[in-house]
Amino acid sequence: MLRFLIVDSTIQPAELSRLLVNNTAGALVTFEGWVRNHSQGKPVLSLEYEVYEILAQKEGEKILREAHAKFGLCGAVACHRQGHLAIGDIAVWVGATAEHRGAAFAGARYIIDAIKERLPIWKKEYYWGEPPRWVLCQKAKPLFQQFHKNAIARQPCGDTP
Amino acid sequence: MVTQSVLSKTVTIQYVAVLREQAQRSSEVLQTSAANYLELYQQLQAKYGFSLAAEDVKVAVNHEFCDLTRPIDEGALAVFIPPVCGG
Repeated sequence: MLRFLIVDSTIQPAELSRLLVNNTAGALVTFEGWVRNHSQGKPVLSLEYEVYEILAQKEGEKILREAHAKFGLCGAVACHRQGHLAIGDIAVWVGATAEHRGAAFAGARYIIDAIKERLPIWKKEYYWGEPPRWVLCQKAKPLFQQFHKNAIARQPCGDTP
Repeated sequence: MVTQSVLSKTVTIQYVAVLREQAQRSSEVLQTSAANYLELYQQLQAKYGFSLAAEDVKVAVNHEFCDLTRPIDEGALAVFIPPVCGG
């Protein structure tokens, strides 16, 4: 079972986990990315995810195939929200099954990292008392950042291995 | 004039995220004589004042990631990809 989904409504982890039921698997590792109420020290009201669906679907399926081959997974499912999300909503869900936990952990990590780095998905943050901004999850370039600091917010993108 | 029409290619541009907002449109069909997608982006940047430098964008042509230096394809659908931020 390899399945990548882009959805407009609330992600249902139990339904996604059920897709991975497999009697040959001894481990299921899941990851949920949540919408938090702050970013870079500023309160965040909500988020908007824009997805280039056709390309994101193709690339998402490719990531799952890569993880399956690389870690010998029994199965992998990933789901990403699009549209407007509230604080606390699940933005992304990843599940990976394997015979043993090591491969399941590694596979889930590989998938979420690749989703963040490769999928054509963009995030706009909404704040109290100031205009919303598109967030660019790349290393900031000082000149670039200075040039359009009012339109775009650059920020580090999650954990590093 | 004849030379111009021979070299000119028709391409559909779909704008996403910050580029859509700055261009104030979701898509358009253009005639271009740009040698490649990098040159086309630079022309559009001058036209719409895109804040993203060419080195910060990628391009998808007919729904496949491509190198910006790829020659323009007649009738292509091109989407310039700002830095991504999923997850």
